[in-house]
Amino acid sequence: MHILKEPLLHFILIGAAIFGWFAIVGPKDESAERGDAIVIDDADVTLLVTRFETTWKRPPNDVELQVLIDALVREEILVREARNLGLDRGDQVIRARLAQKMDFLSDAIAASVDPEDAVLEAYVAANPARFTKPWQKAFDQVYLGDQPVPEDVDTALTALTAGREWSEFGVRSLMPRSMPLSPPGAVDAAFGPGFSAALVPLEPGVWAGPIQSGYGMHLVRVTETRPEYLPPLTDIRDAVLIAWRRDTAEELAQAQYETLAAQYRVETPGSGE
Amino acid sequence: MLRLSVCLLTLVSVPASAIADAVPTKEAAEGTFAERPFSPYANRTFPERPLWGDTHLHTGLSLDAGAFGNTLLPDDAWRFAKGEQVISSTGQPVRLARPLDWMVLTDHTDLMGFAPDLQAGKPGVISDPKGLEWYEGYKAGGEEAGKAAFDIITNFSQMTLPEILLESYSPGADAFAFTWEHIVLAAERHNDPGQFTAFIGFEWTSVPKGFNLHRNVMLRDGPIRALQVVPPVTQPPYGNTDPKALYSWLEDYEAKTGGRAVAFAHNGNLSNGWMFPTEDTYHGGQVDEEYVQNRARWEPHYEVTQIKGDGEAHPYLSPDDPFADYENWDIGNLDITELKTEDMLAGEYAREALKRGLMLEEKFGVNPYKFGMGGATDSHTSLATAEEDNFFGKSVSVEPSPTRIQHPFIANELGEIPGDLLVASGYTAVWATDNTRSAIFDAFKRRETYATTGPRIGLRFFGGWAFDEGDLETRFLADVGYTKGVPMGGDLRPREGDGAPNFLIGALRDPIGANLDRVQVVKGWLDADGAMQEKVYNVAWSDDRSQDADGNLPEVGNTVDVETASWSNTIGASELITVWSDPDFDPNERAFYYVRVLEIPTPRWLLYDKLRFGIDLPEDAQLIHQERAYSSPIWYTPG
Repeated sequence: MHILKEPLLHFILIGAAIFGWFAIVGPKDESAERGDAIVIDDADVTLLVTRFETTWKRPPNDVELQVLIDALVREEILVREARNLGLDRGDQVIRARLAQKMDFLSDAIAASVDPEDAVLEAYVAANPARFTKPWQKAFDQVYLGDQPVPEDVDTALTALTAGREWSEFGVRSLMPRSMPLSPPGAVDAAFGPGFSAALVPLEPGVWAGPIQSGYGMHLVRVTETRPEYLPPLTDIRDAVLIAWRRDTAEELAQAQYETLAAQYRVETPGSGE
Repeated sequence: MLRLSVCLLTLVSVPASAIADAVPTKEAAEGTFAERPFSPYANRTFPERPLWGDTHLHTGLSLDAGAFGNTLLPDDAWRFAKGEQVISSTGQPVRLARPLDWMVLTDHTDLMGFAPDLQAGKPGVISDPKGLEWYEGYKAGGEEAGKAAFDIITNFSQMTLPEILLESYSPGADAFAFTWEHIVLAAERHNDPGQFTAFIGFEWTSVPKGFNLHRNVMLRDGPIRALQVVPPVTQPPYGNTDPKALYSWLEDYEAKTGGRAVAFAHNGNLSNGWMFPTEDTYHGGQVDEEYVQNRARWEPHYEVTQIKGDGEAHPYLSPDDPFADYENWDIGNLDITELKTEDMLAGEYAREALKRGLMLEEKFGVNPYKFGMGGATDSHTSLATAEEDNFFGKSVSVEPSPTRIQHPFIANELGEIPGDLLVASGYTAVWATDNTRSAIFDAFKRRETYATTGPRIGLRFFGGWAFDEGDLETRFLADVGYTKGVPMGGDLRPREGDGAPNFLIGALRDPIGANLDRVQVVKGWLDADGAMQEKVYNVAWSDDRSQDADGNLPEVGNTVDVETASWSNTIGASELITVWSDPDFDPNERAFYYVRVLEIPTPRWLLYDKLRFGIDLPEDAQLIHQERAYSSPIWYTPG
């Protein structure tokens, strides 16, 4: 069924199930009448003990446990009374916390799903630029100075093309004479913006130029080229998964919100008429 | 259903597949070439180009950064350093002109991870009354948020943080361990050997009574070693502000994991004299054999220039150096609880420390202040910006805005460090053969690094006994340099003949930056009476200028147009190369030599603010400056 192949829909269904499940197993309405019993059961005690152990790396002794239980009873009574007085309403901290917990639920769903490779492949195919490794080129360069006269450029190019020993040629400079296989960013970092773009049309093994750098004019011989490529999923699976989860969590949160928001009629000043 | 509910409980888990140790690389041979092959390109094991990076950056995981509203986390910081565009915490799109090659991410370890929990109002934070107060302040935004942040920092420096919060975000607590794991795994995800190196690191934030004794730590290792430990803190009872405690941690780290780590200090200028002691340490110890050995062993590097001031030299200490007065912060300690006095300055600046190192070496046989130079941003925005036209400030509160220069860095009844004094600086260049953790780390250990205040100035510096003018004609300067001498950070080889040492020096301007004004050698030495001396020599310069009898060179001029924040490379030189020999050499005197390169004048970040926001600036605001590079020294020890 095509509909089940839509990941987003998938998540919304899962999301609905989780929200539903929470509604069933979650704590019941905690407001209660005065005079009701306050029951601390074994599960509560176990929780207290576990919390204590997390901090102190040992179980509480009897005195400590009694103090913890008393504190819990006190908290329970005060919370019930506070609710009865309506103190929980309009409290920014409580509201923010509740809203945040809802966000946690959507994040958790995205983080809990381990997508099939096919899903990730499709994601890569839809966002190739984010995962493509740029081209790399290695080259030799001869620096001709910042404003060489055109005749000198021609003479140099002719001599180099004729096979003159290039390392004895050109103006002395601290710039790297030979660059190892480097991506465009590294080329531009060493020679200035635009230099890497000028290398793209050059034929390997042939002296060409002049090419303008941040320093002046150069003759260049590309010695090796490795084209840009999209690595196979196995090499970049971690990166793809992280990106996919981030995108999916955002989409899901928004979709979830829209589903919930659809159940309300929102009125704001000026929206009613 | 059950499976999903289990997943809900493991929200904080991280993909374990991201764990992999750094790829070990072949050891880069350096130094002499015994035999040269016919091909000049074979066996070339020295680096062709410097690798640019930042050794000091904070994300929202740092207490102060997060409290001031930094919501960007390590992933954002790494993506930005690699050249991606990100949206800053104030909603502004931002991108580096050129990506970095490597970076050390150094979040403050004290209360690491507290800030994001504060921003999110996590129960662990708001269950404490003080935590709730801060959270409400943070949520209120604006001035309230600023107040809350300031209150947090004050409580931190006064060591009056609520005990429960301190306990929950200190070593031993889950939140602390998870934050460390977050940092380690994010670095690992972004470490791309050969392309970009992401170092695991942290800042050990010792600031007793406001005296800045901070150290950054960088690990050579990957998660397998880094996750065997958690980083040390300074707040008692979980930590200690004495650097000795850091040294013990480093020693334990290496012993326990088999890994390697180094520490490096910064901002001696805010230590009120305690950064480079010669007699007593701040913590009541002595500068004794143990101290000098520890410091020499663990601190082979110093962050000499950054956002909170340039720490190379100070005019009071170097009255004959007209360029010593550069971006100095000399008002007081970090929180201005004590004003600066002149006698403190000698314990604060790198040049003086290098001299003190010679003196202590004479006394103990070990030089505790034998460090290489580096620059860093120390940005608290997750954004490693050090260029004047792209400066995103110290913290989120001073990201670009028309009012940012009105925010002082700090102000109180004793004094003020106004906002226009922030420095858009700097970066560290490393001469390493491979862009990997091991190759770059090893370059730090041998001090083959240099600092710049932001521009990517190329700088080669070799010392030896046999360089001559003919070497300038070579097309393979580095080849000659490594063959006949030692690179920056090294010790001169034993003296040959009866001459003075000479130095092969080459400086190349930033390919998209300003021309160079001059290259200088700064020499420091211990004279026959045991007194510390220094002298600055102009060794290469642009244009048609000549020195007078006292060695003074006319100024290079100024092409900055303050109406447009532009300048032109019609003055200065693209490249300056020279062989320089020490005219005042005495073979019996310990000495060091380092290079300082000055650019021609260019606009300071303030001028870009003025023009882009159309704002008025204080009359004395500095709009133009000369950016610079500082090499690591080369040392001479009498034979």
